Amino acid sequence: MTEIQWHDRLEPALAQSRESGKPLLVFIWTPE
Amino acid sequence: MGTVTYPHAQVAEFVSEHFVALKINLKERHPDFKDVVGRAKALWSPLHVYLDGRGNELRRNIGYLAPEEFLAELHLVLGLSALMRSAIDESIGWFEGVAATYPRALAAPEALYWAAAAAYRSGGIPAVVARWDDLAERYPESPWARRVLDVVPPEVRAALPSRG
Repeated sequence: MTEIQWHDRLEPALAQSRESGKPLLVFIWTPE
Repeated sequence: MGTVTYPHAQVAEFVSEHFVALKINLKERHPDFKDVVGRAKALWSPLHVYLDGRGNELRRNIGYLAPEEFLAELHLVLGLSALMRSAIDESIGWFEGVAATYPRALAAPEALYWAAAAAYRSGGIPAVVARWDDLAERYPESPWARRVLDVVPPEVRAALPSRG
């Protein structure tokens, strides 16, 4: 079972996005 | 989203394979919130913002999406990402994939609209009109079909090569 690896800061996520060529998905949520 | 859609096996796999993911709790004063959302405000959640690696916004979408709807949405985003990179054939592949794989999804007519925009780069106006006609025929009630109805003046349509 795959689990999504969530970043918690923008810059490292953007760096990984640039490196991998994958777009960045930002999920903005409120606790349910 | 967090309890149904993201834990869905197909969603988790697709996100992991095709996206880098960042989660921001709207209730916390997240230090990167403004850099993600920009000058707009987050009036409601869940909110999804999609960025390229340079931080350029590809798309944003408000509200809950069930797994199938979300998968269609993610395909559409990948098409927009490819289009932003001028990878035209790849983008059309993703856009057409939305309508082929998830024909009843909210994103399907929009994906066909964007397929037409992408096709303009390689096929010009005739390619756009052909795809607009296809969109209007397949999703006549869609808001995206309303964007293309009666746009092409009759004299322009008459001058287009016959499609048989």
